[in-house]
Amino acid sequence: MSQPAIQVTDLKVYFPTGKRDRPVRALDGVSLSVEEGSFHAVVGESGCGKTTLARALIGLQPATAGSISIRGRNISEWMRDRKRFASEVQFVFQNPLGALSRRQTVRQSLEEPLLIHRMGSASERGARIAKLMELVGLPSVMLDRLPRSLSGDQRQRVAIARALALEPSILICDEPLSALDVSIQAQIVNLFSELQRDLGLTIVMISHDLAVVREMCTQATVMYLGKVAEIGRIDLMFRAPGHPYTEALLSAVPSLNPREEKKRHRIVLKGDPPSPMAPPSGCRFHTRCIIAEPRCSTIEPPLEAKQTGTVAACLVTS
Amino acid sequence: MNAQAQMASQAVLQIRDLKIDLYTETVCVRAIDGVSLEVAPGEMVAIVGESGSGKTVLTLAPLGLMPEGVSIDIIGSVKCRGNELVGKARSAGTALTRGDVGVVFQDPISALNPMKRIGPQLCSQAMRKRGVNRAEGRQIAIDLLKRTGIPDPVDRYQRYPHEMSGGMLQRAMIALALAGKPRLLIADEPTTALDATVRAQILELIKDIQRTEGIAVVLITHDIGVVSSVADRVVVLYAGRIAEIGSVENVLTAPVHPYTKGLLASVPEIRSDVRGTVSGIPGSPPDQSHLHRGCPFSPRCALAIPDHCDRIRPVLLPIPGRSEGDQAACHVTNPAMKDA
Repeated sequence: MSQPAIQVTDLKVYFPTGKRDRPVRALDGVSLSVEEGSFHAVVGESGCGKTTLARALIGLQPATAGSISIRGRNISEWMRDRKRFASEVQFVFQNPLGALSRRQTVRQSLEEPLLIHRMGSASERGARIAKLMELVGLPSVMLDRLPRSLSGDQRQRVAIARALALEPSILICDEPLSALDVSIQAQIVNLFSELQRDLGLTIVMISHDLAVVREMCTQATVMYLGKVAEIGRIDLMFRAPGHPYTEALLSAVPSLNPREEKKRHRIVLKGDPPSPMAPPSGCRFHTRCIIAEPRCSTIEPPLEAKQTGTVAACLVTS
Repeated sequence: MNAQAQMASQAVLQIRDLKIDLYTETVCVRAIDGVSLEVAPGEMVAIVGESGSGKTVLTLAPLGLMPEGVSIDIIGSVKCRGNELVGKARSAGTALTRGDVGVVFQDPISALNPMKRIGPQLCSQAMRKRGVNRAEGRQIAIDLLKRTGIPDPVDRYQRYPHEMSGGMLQRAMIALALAGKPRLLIADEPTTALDATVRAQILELIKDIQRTEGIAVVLITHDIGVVSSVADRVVVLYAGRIAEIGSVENVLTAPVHPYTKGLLASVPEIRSDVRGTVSGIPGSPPDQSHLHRGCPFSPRCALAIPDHCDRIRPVLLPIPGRSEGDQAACHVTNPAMKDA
C-alpha cells in the first residue's frame, strides 16, 4: 500500500484552563490516516474536537503530544517551509467573508497567492485566474467585484478558487457548507465532488452533517469528545454503524417522507455532550449511550475492527 | 356559518393580504408581498424558505420585533385571536398579545439576559404576563423548567445563562416563551444553532408542548428536512410570496411547485441507497430590492415558459384533485392556473 497523504498518530491537544489539573482535552489521542486521493469526512458535534483537528492539520494549532505527518514529512518540519506547505496543503473555512479580504477584488484575491509564489508572467497569471473561475463556476464578470457584493455561495466559491490557486494536492475544509442555504449547499457539494474527481485532490472535510457528508465523501471519521468513535468506509458505516453514537447521529437525520418519519424508530439521545474539561470515565459516550453496560463506565474501549467492516471504539457492539 | 368562516373566526393567527416593506439606510426591500395565512388552535405550521425569503419578517414584524435601524411599512391585516396588530403602536400591540404569543429565537444566548439568573428571568416574565406574585412566579418558573426537560430545575433556577449548554439554554428559552401561557408559539429557527442529536430532542419537546397543551406553533426554518416529523402544514415562502402551501404529507411527498421540488432535491436522503441525488437549485435567492414583474422564481426555474412566467405573476390557487387548502402559485405545474 502506498503511503497515506495524511497520517495522524495519537494526537493530543490540550488547552490550559484556570484550573491547572483540568485542561480542556480538545483532542485526546486521535489517530487516523487519510489515503491519497480520498475524500475523508470528519464528523461530530460541537466540542468533539473536529475544528481543533483541522487547525492542527494545517499547522495553526501546535500539538500537546503525538504527531502529524503530511506526505511523509512531519508537520513541524513543514512549518519551517511554509511556502512549500502552502502549495501542498490549502484550506477552506466556514465563513468566506472572514477568509477573504474585504478590500480586495476577486481578481486580487486570486492573484495574491500566485504573486507571493512568483508564478508565471502577468498574462499567465491572468489565464490561471480565468481557469480558476471556470473551475468553481463563477462568471469572469465577477473578477472586479468586492466580496461584499457577492452572495454567500459566490464568496465560498471564491474562497475555494483561492485555495486551489497554487494547485495543492490536499484540501482541508472546515464546515464549508454550514453558512449556506440548503438549496445552495447542494451546488457546493456537487462542486467539491467534481473538483475531487477532476483534480484528484485529497480532501478532508470537517462537518457536523452526516447526510451531506455521505453525498460526497468516501471515508469518514466520527469523533466524540476528543476521541475517534468510528472510522471507515462511509457506505459501510451508513449500512451498519459499528458504534452506537454513529447510529444515533444517523437516526437524528429526519426522513423527508412524513409517513416514513412517523413509522421510523428514532434514537433520541439524552442530554447534551458532556464537557471536554471533565470527560466521563471509561467510554466517553456511556453517559448518553442506549446500549451501555456497567463495564463501559470503567473500561476505555480500544478501536477495533467490527464485523460490519468499519473500525469502532465500543465494547458492546461486535 | 360555513366551515371556512368558522375556521377564520377561531384562528389563533390570521394574516390577510400582508405586505411589508423594509427600509434601511440605503435600500427599500419588499420583504412580504401579499401573504394570507391562517393558523388554527393547536396546529403546527412550518414556514420554509431560503434566507431572504421573508419567513422571519412575516411573523415577527407584526409583533413589533424588528432589528434596530429598520423602518417598516405594513399593509394588510394580522389578527392574533381576533385582535388586529397592524396599525397599532408597538406597545399597544404588545399589550394586545400580552400572554398570547411566545417567541423562541434561534440564538438563546442573545435572547436571554446574560446578567440575570435564568430563574428570575422566567419568574418576572410570569409575573408580568400572568399577573401573579413573586412566590407564584417562582413556582411557575420551576414548573416550566421541569416541563421543558431541564434536569434539577431548582438548581438551574439559580444559574446564569453562560453556565448552561446550548441545548439547555434553548429549553430555557422555550420555558421563557411559555411563561405567559401563550396560545401561539413562534419558533424562529429553534434548532439551527444546535447539534444534530440535540436538535432531535428540541423538536420533540416543541411537538410535545403543541400536542399536550394545545398551543398553536409556527415553526420557521430554512431546512425543509426538519418539518417532516413535526409539522401539520407547510408553507413554502419564496421572495416574500407563498409558492406552495398544504399538508405536510402532500407538500413533502407530492410537491407541485418547482421551487418546493428543488428544495426537497437539495436535502440528501440518507435512508435511500442511491448517492449523489442532491441537485439543488441553480442561481441564488432573489434580490428583493428589485421587484420582479412575473413569477419571482422564473429566473431559476427549469420549467419556466419564456415570455410568460417572467411577465405574468402567478396567483396562489387551490390544486385540483388535492385536499382542501393545498395551493400552489405556478403557471406550469398547477392545472388550475390554465383555466384562470
